[in-house]
Amino acid sequence: MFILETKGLSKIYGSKGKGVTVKALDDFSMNVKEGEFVGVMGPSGSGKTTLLNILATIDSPTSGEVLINGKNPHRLDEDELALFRRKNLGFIFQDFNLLDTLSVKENIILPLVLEGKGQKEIEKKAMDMAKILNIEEILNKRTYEISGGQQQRTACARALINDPSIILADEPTGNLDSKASMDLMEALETINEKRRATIVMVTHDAFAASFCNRIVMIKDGKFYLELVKSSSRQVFFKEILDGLSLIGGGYNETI
Amino acid sequence: MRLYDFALKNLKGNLYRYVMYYLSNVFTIAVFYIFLNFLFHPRLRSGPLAPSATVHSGAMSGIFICLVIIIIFTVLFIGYATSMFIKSRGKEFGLLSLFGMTNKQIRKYILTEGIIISLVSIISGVLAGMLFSKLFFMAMEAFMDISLPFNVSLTATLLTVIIFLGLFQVVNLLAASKIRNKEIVDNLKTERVPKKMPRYSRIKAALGVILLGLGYITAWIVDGALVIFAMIPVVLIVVLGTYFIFTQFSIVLANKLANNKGLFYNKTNMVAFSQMIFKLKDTAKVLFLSSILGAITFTATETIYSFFTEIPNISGISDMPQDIAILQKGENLYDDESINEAIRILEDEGISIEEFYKVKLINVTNETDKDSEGNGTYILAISNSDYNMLARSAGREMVTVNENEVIYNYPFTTNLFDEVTDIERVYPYEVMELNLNGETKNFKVKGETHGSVTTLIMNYSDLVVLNDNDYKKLMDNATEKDIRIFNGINVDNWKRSYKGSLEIADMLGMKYKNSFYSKVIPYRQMRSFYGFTLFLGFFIAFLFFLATGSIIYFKLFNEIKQDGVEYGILKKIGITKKEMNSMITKQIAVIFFLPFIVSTLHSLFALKSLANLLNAILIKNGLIVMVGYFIFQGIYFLIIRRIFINRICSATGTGVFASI
Repeated sequence: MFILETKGLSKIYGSKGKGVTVKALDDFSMNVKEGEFVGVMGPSGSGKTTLLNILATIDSPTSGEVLINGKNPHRLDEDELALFRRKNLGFIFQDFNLLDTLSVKENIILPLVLEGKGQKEIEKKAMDMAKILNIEEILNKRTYEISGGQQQRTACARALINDPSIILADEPTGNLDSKASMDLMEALETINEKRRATIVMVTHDAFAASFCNRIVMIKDGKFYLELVKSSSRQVFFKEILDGLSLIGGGYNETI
Repeated sequence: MRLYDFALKNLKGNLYRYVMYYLSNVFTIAVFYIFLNFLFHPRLRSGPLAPSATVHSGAMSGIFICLVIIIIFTVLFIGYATSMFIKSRGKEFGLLSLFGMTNKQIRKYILTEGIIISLVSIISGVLAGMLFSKLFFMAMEAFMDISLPFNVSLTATLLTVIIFLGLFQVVNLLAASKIRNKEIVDNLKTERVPKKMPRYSRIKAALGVILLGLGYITAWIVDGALVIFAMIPVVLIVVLGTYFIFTQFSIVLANKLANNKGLFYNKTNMVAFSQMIFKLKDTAKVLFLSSILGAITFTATETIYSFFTEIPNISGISDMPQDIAILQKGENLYDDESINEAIRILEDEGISIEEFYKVKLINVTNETDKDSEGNGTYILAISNSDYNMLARSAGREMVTVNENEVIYNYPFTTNLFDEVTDIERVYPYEVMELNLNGETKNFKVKGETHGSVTTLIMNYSDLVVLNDNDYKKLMDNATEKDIRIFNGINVDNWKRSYKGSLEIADMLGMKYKNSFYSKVIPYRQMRSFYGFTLFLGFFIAFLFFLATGSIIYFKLFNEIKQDGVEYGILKKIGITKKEMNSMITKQIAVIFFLPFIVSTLHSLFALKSLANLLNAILIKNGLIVMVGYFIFQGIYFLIIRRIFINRICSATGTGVFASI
């Protein structure tokens, strides 16, 4: 059973008929099984962000379809989509996107509060999440009082708290130093292994990508290469670097 | 490219940013111009402004006060709008200095831009003012009963242009000097610095409540003349209290609400409340100002409105026992034709006559009460039965007078401000020596009554009530010149009798000069004067109302970018439009209606003070004014809410992962 299926996704930017059109995605298909941790990699302009936007139901494909849990969210109207996102998707962003006006705990429980869940359930889940992500001590702090790594783990907790079908992460380590990156990726690994959370992560960072089970590489909007983790993370990291040098373009600096 | 070109180009490119600032400038200038144009209207100085000199001087002092208020308003409003506008562009100035623009150049740039905007604003403002002058004149014509033809005063135009040119430059200079003192980094970051959790002091919050309570209690209990002494301290206490209420207590309260998990963890409340805490902190001073401004506006409007509704009581019109009165004397004594004609005129106007009294009075001399030259004073004698008939109709006490006795009737129930008590006597003598055509007789004064039973007609006001037999004896001795026939008419609705009354006055002509009275005529005169004041009051109130609204508007929209970011995050997580609207509505409602509630409370207590001073119950008037304001405020709120939601929607309309 696939949690996420995409069939022949295409996205063309620019108006048809006149002017320049850009094909950001070209007949792209990929499937994600439950409990998988998939990394999406590719050079700049390869269509990673477009893919993630479409998966996040924020953007709609020009052709092709997306099925999340067997349902096609792009058939829903705007408000239904919002509720769909809230119930089925969890987001982790490069720039954390926490609300400054809320405390850490309040940020984490936000999806549950918006759902109108009971107070006890909210408290219990918040404590569970905090324990998994090791942010129990900072629950009552404000967002500007904690480090970037802590902010990103808070964002993880928020993404995870309503048990979404799939978590979409966009360059989660992009704004973090190496130590914080390590902590975050370990946390994501734990979430993936212990709670069987399905994660799709877009990244440039081969180190971060080595935590995934499988890597899908895109080039010019098309499927390019697939790598599956077979042995240790260190070996997988090497394989990813090889893949990147194969794909070329803008990756030299990360090696 | 010179600096001037740069400023002009920038202005053209970012036109949308300047629109709000420009519009508020135009509005202020237009208002100022309309008022000046009115003030310099040639009719106002040469022609008769109003029916009487008192009305004229009253109106002029009203206009003067308005002018002062408008000037204060203009300076504050333009100053505020400009500083908000400059502040909102911190990032722009930061970038400019990052690229190597010197402070001097930036200041020059701000000033150049300021001059361009102010010139455009002044031209459009004056033009708009000219257009709306006609409307203002028409309203004035209606209220003051004079004709004000359309006129453009050169003095007013020049004055407006010069004053605003100067004002804008001063304000711009001040705003520009503020920019200089900031670090580039701070300027660049103005929009991105996460706000610190607002702090508050419990002591100050409690102090706010205590001060407010103290002010309110004092306003409530202080009575009579003491109100005037208590006024200034009470106002100071309440203003200080309000300041603490907004800057401290509101945050304490919002935190209390946020600590109530049941309420806080309820759907959109969490975001709405927590953002509200920050918004309250940011806008506390503005809210404080606008609630004080609002309180002044409310109180002023309520006061004027109260005077307006209380005209009949204040002017004594309501004390008149009959609505219309005609006195026959001398050559008119047997002129019943005119009286019948008057009644016919009223009936033709569709006014039904409810009561009609014809009473004969005798003009006698009271030798006991001598004037300064030693002559007796005139007094009108009325028979006991006639008096009782009129007294019953007027709802006054009926009396019984024995032979050789009289009862003195004083026509007023009040003496200036104090009520005439039964113990206090207006007529100090025990006896009254009445003289008619040389025949005198002494009467014992049995007592006196207060409040007239015959509608006052000029000098003939005091009555002396005689026993029917004594009256008859007096009448036998009376000649035609001593007899007065009083005709009193009560109609079903005297306020509608204005046209008929004017017609009767016309018909009666000079023969009846000073012998005809209709309540509605002085009532209308008073009304036109108070109506004018009321209009000016409403005009000023309207200005203040718009000003407070705009200040809140500026404050809200200044931070719309920041809000857009927050709502963008929420949208990504997944909130429906309805939920977002509910959050926005909750926040804006607090910002809009909190000052309204505080102003309303303040003005209610002020009104209670006024009621204590005037010995009247004015709560009903207060509530009417309040409902009026509430409707206005509600409409304004709905409009601003709509604009705000639209702006937020367009600010958050971008994709989730587009931030890379």
